Amino acid sequence: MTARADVAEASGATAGATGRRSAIAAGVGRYGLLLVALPGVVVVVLAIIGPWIAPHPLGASVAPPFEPPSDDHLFGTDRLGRDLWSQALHGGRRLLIVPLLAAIATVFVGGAVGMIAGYLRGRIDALILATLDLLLVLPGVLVLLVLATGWGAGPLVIVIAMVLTGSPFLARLARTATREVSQAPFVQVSVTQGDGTFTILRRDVLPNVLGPLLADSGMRFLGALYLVAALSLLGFGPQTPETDWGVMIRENAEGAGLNIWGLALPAMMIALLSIAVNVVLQTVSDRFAR
Amino acid sequence: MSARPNPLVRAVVRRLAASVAVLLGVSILLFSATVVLPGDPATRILGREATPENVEALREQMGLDRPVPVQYADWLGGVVTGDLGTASSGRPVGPLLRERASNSLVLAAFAATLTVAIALVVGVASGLRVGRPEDSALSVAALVGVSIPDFVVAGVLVSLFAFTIEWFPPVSLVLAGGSPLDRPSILVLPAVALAVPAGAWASRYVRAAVVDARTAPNVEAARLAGLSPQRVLFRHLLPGVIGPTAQVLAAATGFLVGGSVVVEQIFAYPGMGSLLASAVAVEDIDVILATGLAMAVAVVTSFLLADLAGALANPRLRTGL
Repeated sequence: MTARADVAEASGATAGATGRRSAIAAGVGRYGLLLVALPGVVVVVLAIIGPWIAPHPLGASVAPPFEPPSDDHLFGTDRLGRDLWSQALHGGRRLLIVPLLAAIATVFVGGAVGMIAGYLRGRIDALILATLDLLLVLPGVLVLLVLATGWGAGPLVIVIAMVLTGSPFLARLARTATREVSQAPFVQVSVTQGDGTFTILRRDVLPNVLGPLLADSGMRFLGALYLVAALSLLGFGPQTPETDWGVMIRENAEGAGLNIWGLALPAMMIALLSIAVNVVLQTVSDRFAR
Repeated sequence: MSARPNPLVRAVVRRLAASVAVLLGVSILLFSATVVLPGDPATRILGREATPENVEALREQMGLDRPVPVQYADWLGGVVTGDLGTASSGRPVGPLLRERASNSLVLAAFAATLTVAIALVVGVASGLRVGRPEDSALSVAALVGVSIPDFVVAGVLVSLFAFTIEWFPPVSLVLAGGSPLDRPSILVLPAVALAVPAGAWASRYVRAAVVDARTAPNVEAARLAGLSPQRVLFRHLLPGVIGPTAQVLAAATGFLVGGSVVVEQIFAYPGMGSLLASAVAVEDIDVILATGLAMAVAVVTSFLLADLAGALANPRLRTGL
């Protein structure tokens, strides 16, 4: 079962080369793409400084529930009469920090496992590949929910679930790149000199594997963002009064007929953040591809 | 079987065997994950105030005092013979899962059809116009589509089509014993929500495959032979695209399985995903194991079908699957 892994490898190999870049770049221009990301950058900044500039404290009921937007409340109120804009400003940091940690851990573990498999080859390689193939058929949400059953849905569990389901893609990328590099003369020289495996991996192999790994790391951030928000949406996330954009979608979906912004505002925040990350990632990995 | 079976048959058999091996591995992973989870199922059922003797008795009755490999073999034997254990409600998991899985299958079939349609239409349309403004516009649209999580699409769809203009219901309830096909309109919003990100993602690979296929020798030859553009497209270009993109389309339907957990919950749709979510809330281990395995089966099956489609579309692959 190498199916999904082939797809992962193909994403690095063909997608960049066959002109997705040229198409997008031609249409929107060199900086146009980053302009698309601008609203997302604003969302990131708001998420970070949000708790300091929010007009109302976290969880404070200030008006009747599901009031439509007014001069006092920019986007109206939610089901407990809390100011939606304030809640949204309070609920962003978690969706930045946890996915960021998860993405870093995933890139680290996936890269290390892939490099070890690609460099050592043989039986260890086969064992690692078989394990990766198992993990590749498990949806991230499933693994996260199984782990959350006993351990709760804390940040650590989310990071572990993300590492388990996100790193196989990366490990495949790193393995392929490592296999190529480890045949290169400069690596052979290090081997002949009697350098340790760890030294060779860190000094000779890593710099050559880093490009595709970093290009993929944005996807891991988005994957983790999805998991965190989905978990909140399913009701396993932070409990009242703590909140995030996923929690807000869940809580206010039923009242969307009364105040649509309860649903639309957090959904928009997540969408803009995702688009921004993806666009920036696209631009960065195009630079790598050149 | 004859002494020298058809290479395609042999390849399919080998693929099937590999898939079964993967599913076995997944079942071990899932089972051991539930074993290492803290909290004892017997204590969970009896409550924290239960006496140690009662807990011990129940553990023995549930077979939890046996070694883990024996428990696993027992569970797997049950799965193979169709006995998936008992839900905490006392209902056997088998019929419950069958009902939910068939609901999910209906939704997934809708969503997968839409996904493939979006991927092919957008991918082919922009691949054939590579470098032109239409291509750029579609590529940017695909990038935006792939960036937005399915539940956000769901939120936007509900805001627009359920509350602003009331075309579709905001929740997709199915009456007990009924089928989602009794009222197909409930399937539209969840299926679209699932298909937009998956289709947008897959369309980028379809586009790349079309761009490659445009300059393939057989397509050049067909064009130079003076065949009509339609004939070149449908008889010569697209068959070459199916092979490389079948895997991607399978992966996209794999995403649908994960996405369905959240989307079914949003629309209160009684499928496998919402079954899993509610089982996790009450720590119903038998249900979690059964749905987890069923989801893995769904993903593995879609890859198997993709391999088959790829092999049938490409004569060269028929031997070296």
